[in-house]
Amino acid sequence: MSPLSPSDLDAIPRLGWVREPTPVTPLPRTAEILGIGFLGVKRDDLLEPLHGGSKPRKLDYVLARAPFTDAPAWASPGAIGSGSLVALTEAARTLGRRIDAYMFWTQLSEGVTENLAFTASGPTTIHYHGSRVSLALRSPSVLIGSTIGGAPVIAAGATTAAGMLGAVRAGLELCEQIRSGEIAEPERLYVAFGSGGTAVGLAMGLALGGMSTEVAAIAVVERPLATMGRVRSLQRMLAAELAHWKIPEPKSPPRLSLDHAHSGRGYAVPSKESLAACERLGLEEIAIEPVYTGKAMAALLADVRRLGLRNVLFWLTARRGPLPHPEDWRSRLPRALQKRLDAEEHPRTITRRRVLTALAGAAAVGLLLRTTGYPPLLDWRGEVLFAWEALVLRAAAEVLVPDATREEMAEIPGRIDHYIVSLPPDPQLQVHGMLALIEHGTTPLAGRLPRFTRLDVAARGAYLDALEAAGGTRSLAYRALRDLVMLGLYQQPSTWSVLEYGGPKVSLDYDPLGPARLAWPAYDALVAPEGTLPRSAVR
Amino acid sequence: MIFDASRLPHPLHLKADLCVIGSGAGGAMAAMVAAEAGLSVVVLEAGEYLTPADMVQREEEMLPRLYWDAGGRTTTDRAVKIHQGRGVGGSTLHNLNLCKRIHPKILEQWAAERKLEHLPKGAWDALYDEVERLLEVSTVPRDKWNRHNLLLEEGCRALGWKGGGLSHNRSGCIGSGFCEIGCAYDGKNNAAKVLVPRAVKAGAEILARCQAIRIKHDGSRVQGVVAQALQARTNKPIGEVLIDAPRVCLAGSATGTPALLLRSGVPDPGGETGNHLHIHPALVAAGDFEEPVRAWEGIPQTFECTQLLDLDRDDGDRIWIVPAFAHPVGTASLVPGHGASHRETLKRYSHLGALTAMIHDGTKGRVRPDGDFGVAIDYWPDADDRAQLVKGLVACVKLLFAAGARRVFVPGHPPRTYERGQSIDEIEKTVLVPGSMDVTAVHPMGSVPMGDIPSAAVDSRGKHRHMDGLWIADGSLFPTSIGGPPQLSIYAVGLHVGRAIAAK
Repeated sequence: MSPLSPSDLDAIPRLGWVREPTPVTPLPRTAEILGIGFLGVKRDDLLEPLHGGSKPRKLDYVLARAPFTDAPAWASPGAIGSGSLVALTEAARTLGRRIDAYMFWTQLSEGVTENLAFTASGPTTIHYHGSRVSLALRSPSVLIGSTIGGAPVIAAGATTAAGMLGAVRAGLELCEQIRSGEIAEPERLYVAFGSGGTAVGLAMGLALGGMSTEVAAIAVVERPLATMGRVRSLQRMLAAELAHWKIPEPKSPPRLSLDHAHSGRGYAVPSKESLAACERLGLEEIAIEPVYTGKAMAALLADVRRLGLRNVLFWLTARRGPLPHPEDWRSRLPRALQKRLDAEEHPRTITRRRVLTALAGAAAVGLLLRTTGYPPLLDWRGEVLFAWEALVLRAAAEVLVPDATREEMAEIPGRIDHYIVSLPPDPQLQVHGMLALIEHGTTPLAGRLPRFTRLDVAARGAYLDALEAAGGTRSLAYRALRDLVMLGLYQQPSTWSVLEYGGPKVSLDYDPLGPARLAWPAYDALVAPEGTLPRSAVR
Repeated sequence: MIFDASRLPHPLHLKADLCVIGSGAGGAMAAMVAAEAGLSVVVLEAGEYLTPADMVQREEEMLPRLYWDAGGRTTTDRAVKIHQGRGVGGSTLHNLNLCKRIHPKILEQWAAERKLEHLPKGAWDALYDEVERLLEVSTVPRDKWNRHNLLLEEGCRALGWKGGGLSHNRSGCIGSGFCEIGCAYDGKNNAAKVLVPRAVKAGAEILARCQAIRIKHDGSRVQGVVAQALQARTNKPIGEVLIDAPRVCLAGSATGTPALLLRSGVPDPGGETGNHLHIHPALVAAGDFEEPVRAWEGIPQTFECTQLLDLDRDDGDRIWIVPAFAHPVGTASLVPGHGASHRETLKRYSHLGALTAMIHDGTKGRVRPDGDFGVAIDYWPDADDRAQLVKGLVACVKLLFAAGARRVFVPGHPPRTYERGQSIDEIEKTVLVPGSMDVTAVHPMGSVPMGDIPSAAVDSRGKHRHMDGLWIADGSLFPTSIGGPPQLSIYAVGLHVGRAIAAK
């Protein structure tokens, strides 16, 4: 397959907002200080529409599709300083629509306040929640549904299959710039990873454009929200979308690494390093903010020497400023958000909120101690289960199936993960809940301070026996765990000889999705050729 | 033709004379009849299109592809496991091909209580004759019975109990024994093999991986269906599919159909929709035999014990006993406990024979939608049914010992083991409470019972009485439990309703 260019995506509907490629600005002074050959910044802040930033690239595709083309209002979630909501607000203003913005609180900064002021001043109705948890509990439809209050939902960060096409196009745009000799092909491209769509799309665009550049996705949200499982899920979604438009698969798979080391104290909280990175780029007269692009740049600065990089590119995804807004923008905020802003800007010495915050902080520290410190599971490739959950399953297997070999036990979590990937969200959530109960129930249910995976085998066995005998939810959790472990073990052909079970008559090597798939003409003839539409389709 | 909805552009807008939801015994039959009568038909199937080439005989691969919730569907309190199939062909892809007509006494009861003016007893006979010819139903010859079934026959003979061979819809069966995870040899004369090709030939278009979410209507007349295309493997929704159709036929099973009706706000002044669910709950017991049984080899269920299936009497027993078998994963889950004791039992896997006692239940469970894609099922057998279940369990234990088992396991919490000669009196005193024993079910039915009486939501043609253009053609229509394998009767209902749609 020959490398693609942006025009290869022209058959896919979009608004056409993104036209000219954004420039790459070299930073020779910083490159010299770092001792590398080239450091450049891909300037999406200079993108023309909607005050720039990478979001218009996604909205270019998202808003060109039903139901957004016809809906009078769109809904979307985001932090009070969300850049995505800023772009959406401007898009709504441009296209004569309204926005239902479902916002949650994050730490204030100058940039956050500016974004909030702009969003509030647009054709926007703000639905305020004190935290992400509160948003999830009170308005779950805006996070997992397709509509809320009659308005179609645009996913956080506009990360949808269509939205990622904008990032694919951006990656192809960069490939053109490389091929034209504007810059050399970078070894690594640094970009912030929030909802993930930009990083995943760029990596795919670079791969489709024939480049081998690795996208270094720098997580700016908490670890559970930025997992390789999330990456793979987005990649699959994007691959299906591209296949739908008959875009061939890249010759080499997209190269993307996910780095959690720079998220600091969490989403929307600047770190010392991100502030320093903002300062560093400020000297080059390039403005970045400290919670997205600042953290990605901090990662770049840290990695250059550590990894011995020579040619690096930074993708500036932030909008440009300043954003206009009327003086009275605060009067347009919901009362609860107004009060919160006032309290943050004019704090009293001791407030109920501060006491609660301190207590929550202490609890969070305890929780952090309880939920971290797992040994690395480098080979874990789970799509549903987290690495710590794989460790719980392995620890349980040592008790439940002690006669299994080490190799058989090691395979159990992966086989369970493969099995449950097809389950609906609720049962998957119940599996997560069950494993959390097993792991952390040791303290409230058995009076033991260490979590399950830190108990010795005998103590783990006693704990599981107690759960089995307890009845109710605990007994159900035991049985679910036991059944999963049995499923993970006894599907392994190596266990069958003990059972005197001969196994399937179909060869274990047979892969129905591979080239050796058996033909069944009477059945195969019923399948519509790829690419054909049903006759019943309304054209 | 058959389309994979996940690979079509979204949103997708279709238009047809009839949209059928579900492609199992009822849906495929109704679609075939309607298409052959000249209607343009679109069939929506939440599962995928699988051919014998896909049936790899591995539980971990096939359970997620052939069963809802990868075979792990349960009632909301998790007390009862309910296995339901998906895929083009529905549950007929994984069922064990048992074909049995509804007992005449039950049909008489239906006629008396629900009128069924369009489906009198004689009409059932004609439908059965036709379906049996179509599916080439025949009694499985005794030389095809495996050791497992012969043991049940021996048990019956030793106790002097009634039993006999079963009829199946098979041709070309090689007795591989993997029926419940799909036939790799095309030996099942099921909906996918017999009905779907005819439906397609007549012009029906089937969208696999496409789950109906809501019925579009204006309060009195259907307008079509809103559906979602599902991603391969993960079943996550990936795009909207909209079907404009003046007729919609629901055949998404006795759980899916009422959930869809309720989610769509289809009027039902009688309040029966979703409130009369029967499932044929069952308990199981396993015997350890000296000789190898190798229950996984050969045709799984060819012999039935009907000693306690006395449907002629109003107060007769309602227990149907057949062999139950499982491959290693299923067996490992069924065998209680863990660690060394579990391993020791499993080492006897090839010597185990298991029987299940399934009851013709009077309990009325409930089905409700759970979000856009799920169902919430509430069911726990009432006192009469629990007594029948325990009686059936005792019968299974007696049959296993009579057939020569040296010990019998009764899975439960805690599990119990009985050595040969040991008293089993305590089983009769078993108090069934949710979670105390593994209750399973494979035959949901009766959740939108038909009737030509004021309270019924659907008449005996399968036509909804409060929504023009809306039809039902699956096991939901049965007014009560039927006390035996339902597939033949669902095919028959599909034929009956398909003709009524075409006649309209």
